[in-house]
Amino acid sequence: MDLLPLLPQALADGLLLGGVYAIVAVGLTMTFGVLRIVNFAHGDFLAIGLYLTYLGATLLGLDPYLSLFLVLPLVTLAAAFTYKLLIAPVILAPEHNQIVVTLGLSLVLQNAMLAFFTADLHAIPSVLSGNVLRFGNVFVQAAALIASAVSIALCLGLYWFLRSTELGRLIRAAAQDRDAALLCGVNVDRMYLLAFCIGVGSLGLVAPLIAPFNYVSPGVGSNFTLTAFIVVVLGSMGNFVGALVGGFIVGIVEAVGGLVTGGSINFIITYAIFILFLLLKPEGLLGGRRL
Amino acid sequence: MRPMLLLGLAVALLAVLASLLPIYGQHVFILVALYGAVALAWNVLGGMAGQMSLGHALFVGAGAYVSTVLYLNFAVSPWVGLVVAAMVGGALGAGVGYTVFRCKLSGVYFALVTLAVAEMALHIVSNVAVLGGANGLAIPSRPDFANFQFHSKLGFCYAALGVLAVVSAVSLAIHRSRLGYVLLAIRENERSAAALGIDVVQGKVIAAAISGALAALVGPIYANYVLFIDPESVLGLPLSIDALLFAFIGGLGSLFGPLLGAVVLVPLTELLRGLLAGRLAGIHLIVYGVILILVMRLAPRGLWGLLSDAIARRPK
Repeated sequence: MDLLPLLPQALADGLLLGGVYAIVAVGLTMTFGVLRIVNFAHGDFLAIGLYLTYLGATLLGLDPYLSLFLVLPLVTLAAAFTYKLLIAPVILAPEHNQIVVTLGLSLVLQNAMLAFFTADLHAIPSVLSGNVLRFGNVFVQAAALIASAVSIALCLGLYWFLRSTELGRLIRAAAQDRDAALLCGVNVDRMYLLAFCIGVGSLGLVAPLIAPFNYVSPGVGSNFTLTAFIVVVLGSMGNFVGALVGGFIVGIVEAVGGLVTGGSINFIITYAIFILFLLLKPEGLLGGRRL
Repeated sequence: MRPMLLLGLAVALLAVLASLLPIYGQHVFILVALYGAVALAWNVLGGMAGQMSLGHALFVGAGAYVSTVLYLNFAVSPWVGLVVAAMVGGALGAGVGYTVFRCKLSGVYFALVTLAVAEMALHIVSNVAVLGGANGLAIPSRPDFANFQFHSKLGFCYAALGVLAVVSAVSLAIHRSRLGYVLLAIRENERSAAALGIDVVQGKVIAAAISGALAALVGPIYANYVLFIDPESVLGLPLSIDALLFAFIGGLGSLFGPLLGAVVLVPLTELLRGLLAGRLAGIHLIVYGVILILVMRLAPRGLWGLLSDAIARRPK
């Protein structure tokens, strides 16, 4: 079969997927870059956002784009509680303990969702579902285009926020040197809370946007966590632009790889790239520049 | 050699206990022994050497697949398969360890590499027809000692106990040997260890090889007990997390803490499953997660630490 005519479609799919991967990874890289904590429960907050969107649709009859105004604050609130209850107490603990705490949180969240919502897959309809745009031979879902565009805008917006605002400067100070920032009068705990709320809370914005073209299941979060790790390592831990670039690379590799090989072989390629990067260039594509 | 003698005595006692248990109790006994063995094997690398692996399912799965494929395709007795599995597991552990540790990856990066290697193995096996693909492999039921299939559950109790005994004995031997002190030095401070003339990379690679070989021993027994393996069950992330979970809750780095973790948590799981009668799937994992977080917060040395503190505090 000649696959060449399908290549532009795969590239477009990859770019759209990459935008979403990028924003999920930006949240992860933010919590890692600032708090130095690797959050294994990151994707599960996205799953929470998706289930909240699902509840909004089934209980209140809200379109995903409307429930955004409900989901974003709720997920941010959940992030704040998580920081206060679980993350803050282990912020100075050995790395092992931090990893295990977030792994434990991931187990609790995933299986709580499994208990409440069962393992069934749910689709969340929206006014835009099934709305397809056509560019030549390439078909693009309108909802995917919106999600990807907002994701990219959010990445750049967060980058600008950290680079150019006073609050961003304080967060970067806390990230670069905790003790020096404390000595300069920066409320480091407050900055950590803020960074965690932004990093995890951004998932509350992403979830309703990807809801129209994604299914919801308790395991969807761990897929995103793994992918976000790959993206973050590719683009350098703590590097925003890197997360954006890494997101597009992984998105395109998955889409084009899926086209060429079929089945789940493309995951093997993604993991192989990931392992090679970890071994040969653990500082990632753009180097170890943090925030 | 007194500890070894005590270990032998404990194994003999457990063997007698297994024969007295009802059928269901024997099932739980087998699960505890197998999970305990995986957790102890994990502990050699994760606890003693301080290198946290998130991919130990790789070794268990490799062991299960090696012995099953040898048996199904070449009619090799699983008894031989068990030995081959350990060798393959050891080679995998050494290979992964050598590649990763030579690149000086540690901490979360090591955890991510092991996670990725195990996930990659899962996807590779899912795509290889000889290995049954995503559907897995079924072993025909032919109860015979040579086939590693026993007529009663008690036989499997002894098999699982045997593996647990081997893993325990190796752990004990390492703990009391020069290697044990090398690993301890590496765990506590890698740079100081290197400054003292310890070959840090070599020490960690040996730990990874032993850990992999021991974990791989569990695979064939699981496969022949359940008579079915598929990528998700023996190579999946949940198994890797279980190994780490039992070790952390039981007591990281302590000699038999990880086994204690399995002894406490596995029956708890079965109890919950019985009480809830299949409702609320995954409830035991919620309990695991909560216990894990509580242990990290309140007793970082795990149940084993709590226990030894309680014994030490007892008025003499």
